[in-house]
Parts: sequence; C-alpha cells; structure tokens
Amino acid sequence: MTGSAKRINSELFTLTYGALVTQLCKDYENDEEVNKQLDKMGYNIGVRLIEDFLARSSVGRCHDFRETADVIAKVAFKMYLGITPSVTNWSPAGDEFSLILESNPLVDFVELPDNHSTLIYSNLLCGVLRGALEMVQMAVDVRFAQDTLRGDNVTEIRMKFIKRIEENLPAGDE
Amino acid sequence: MFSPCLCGFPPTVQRHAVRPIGHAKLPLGVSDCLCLSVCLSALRWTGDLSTVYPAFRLMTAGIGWMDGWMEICKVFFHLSVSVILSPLQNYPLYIRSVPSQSELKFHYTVHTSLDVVEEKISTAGKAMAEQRELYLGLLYPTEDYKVYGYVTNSKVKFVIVVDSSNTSLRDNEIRSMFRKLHNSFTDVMCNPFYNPGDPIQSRAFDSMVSAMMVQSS
Repeated sequence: MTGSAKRINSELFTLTYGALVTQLCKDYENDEEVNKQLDKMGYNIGVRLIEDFLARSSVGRCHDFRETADVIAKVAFKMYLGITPSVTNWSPAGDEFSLILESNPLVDFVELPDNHSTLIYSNLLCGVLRGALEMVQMAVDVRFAQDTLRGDNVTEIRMKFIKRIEENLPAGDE
Repeated sequence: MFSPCLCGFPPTVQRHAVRPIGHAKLPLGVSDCLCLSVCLSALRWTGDLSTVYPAFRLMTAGIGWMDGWMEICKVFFHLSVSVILSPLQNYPLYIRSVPSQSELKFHYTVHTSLDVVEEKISTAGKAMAEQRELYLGLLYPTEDYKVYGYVTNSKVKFVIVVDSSNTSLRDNEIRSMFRKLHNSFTDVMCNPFYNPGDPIQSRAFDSMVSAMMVQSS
C-alpha cells in the first residue's frame, strides 16, 4: 500500500465534526457528559483505525515509548489530519510526553460560546489515540492539557503510558 | 415634542413644551402626543404630520404598539417587512459604529438604505443572463454621510456608512472592506455553535471590524 489518501474537502470534515459536537451538546446538555461521549466515540474509531494505519504505513513494532511517540506525531497525525505535532516535555521516567499542535483542522472557524467553557471540543482525538494504542497492547492515558479554543496559545495533548496489556482479549466496543 | 400650534389640540396637550413639526387639524390626545413624539424624535422626522396620523391612530386604537409601529414604517420607508424587533427578515445581525455614536441614527439610515438595496436587486434580476454583481456601490448620498451596499447570493446584506467628510476612501477600498466582511461572515457561519439568524457575537469578527474601522478612519 502506498498510503495515498483519497482527497476530501477539509471544510466538509470540519463542519461534520462541528455538527457532531453541537448535536451531542444538545442531546446531553452537560459538557462533562459530552466529553465522555466524544472519548468513547474516539475509542471506537481508534480500535478500527489502527488496522488501516498499520496496513498503510508499514511501520514495524516500536521498541519503546519514545519510538511510539515519534510514529504517532510524524506518521499518524500526518496521514490522517495533515499536521505534524511536535513531541516535547518528556517526563524523567520516559513514560509521559506532550504533543504540541500548532493547528488543529477540527477547530477551524470554531469559537466556543461562554456556556460551554468546560467542553473539550477535540476530545475525540484522545479516544482515538487510546483505542488505537490499546490494540497494540499499550494502555495509555490521553488528555488535553492546553486548548486554543479555551484561550491557550497552543493545543497540548498529554500522553502517559500506563502498562503493557498482556492478555489478548478481543477489544469490545465501549 | 411638538407644539400646540397644531390646531385642534385639547387644552391638556398644550401644557407640554413642544416644537412645531407640522400643521394639520388633528385631534390628538395626551398619550397620543407622547407616543408620537417619542417615535418621531427617534426618527428625526420633520415631515407632514397628516400623513402619519392615520397610521398613528391605529397604534393607539388598540391594535398594539408593534403593529402600529410597522404601519408608521410603511408610510415612512415604504418597507413591507417589519423593522425593529421582529424575528423575520431584514433585522440587523450586527451593528457597529465609531465612536459608538448614537446607534439609533444608524439604525434609521440602514433601514432606509435597505429599500434601495431591494430596489437594486429586483431591477438587476430583470436583466436576464447577466450575473448580478455582489457589490452594489454607493446607495445614496445624504449631506452627512455616504452609504454603500453589498448583498450576497443568499440575500445577506452588508451596509457601510461613512462620513461624507472622509473623501480619501476610494471605491476599491470599500470593495475590499466588503470582501473582508463577507469572508469573516462566512467564518462565523461555519462556527458550529452559531445558529443562523442569531446576533453575531464572535470575537474574531469583532476584531476584524475594529481593525477595519481603525484603518479607514
């Protein structure tokens, strides 16, 4: 597989994601609940997307968490969102790092209204990363540390390695 | 307020200090006076009172404040849509003035210019096979200011009012201002949290308009 993606208009993608989030907001009326739902949906995407990724990218097994971080930032994000976040802020133990996103195609044109100040708009991404890594036997914790929609200068995703998953149970949907 | 030189006023009215705005034999009562004066001073109207009187009578005859107001506007502006508070078309989504002068004056100007905009887009429609331009140009000059219009294919109207004393603004600068407004408006529409028809409360839009007003002043 050469890894060539079919071209799709990014505005359609952005508007579709926006419609999804606002519909969830209307249905659940509670930012925390919407965040949880976005994470769940992301997880369901991630457990499937990993197969597509592995088939297209032909990267081998990563030897350590650092290699995983590089693959996520330089290959996966580039392939699916067209951006290359930078990997920084490694913890001393080497089990936690940050992805700094200068731009995020999901949030083009989006301005969070005041009544949704605790909404993590792009939380789908956290679920995707969590689900995808679980399928390669890594349990991770993913969360947004900074968000441009909530006034920060950059968007920062913090990823922490929890443990290696030994048992090969088939992953069910959440 | 208007003067007791209007014949036929009941004595109670003459106690109010008023300025003449017309000459007609109209039997107006006290509440009529106050109501009408509020409307007319808001509009700075100095025309013939008798034209507005029938419409005004409706207001106080119990059909309601809003409908009476609409009737007055029909007489004044020849508009067939409601003007100020209705959720139907042609109400402003965004008004900004420098330096926050009386916005009411601009509401008035904008609404009268809507009439001209409607006229322009309806006459252009009759010229078939010719694509109507979005930029409408100078709508009409008054002694204080010039009004420019722009309408999108989705019938969203943009109106720019500039001071007549500002002669340095050229046509292509106005065109580029409208283009910027149109682009920012499109971005606002793409915000999934914005419902079309709501007043525009976007920080990005505000800062674009501020930059534009500073640049052109």
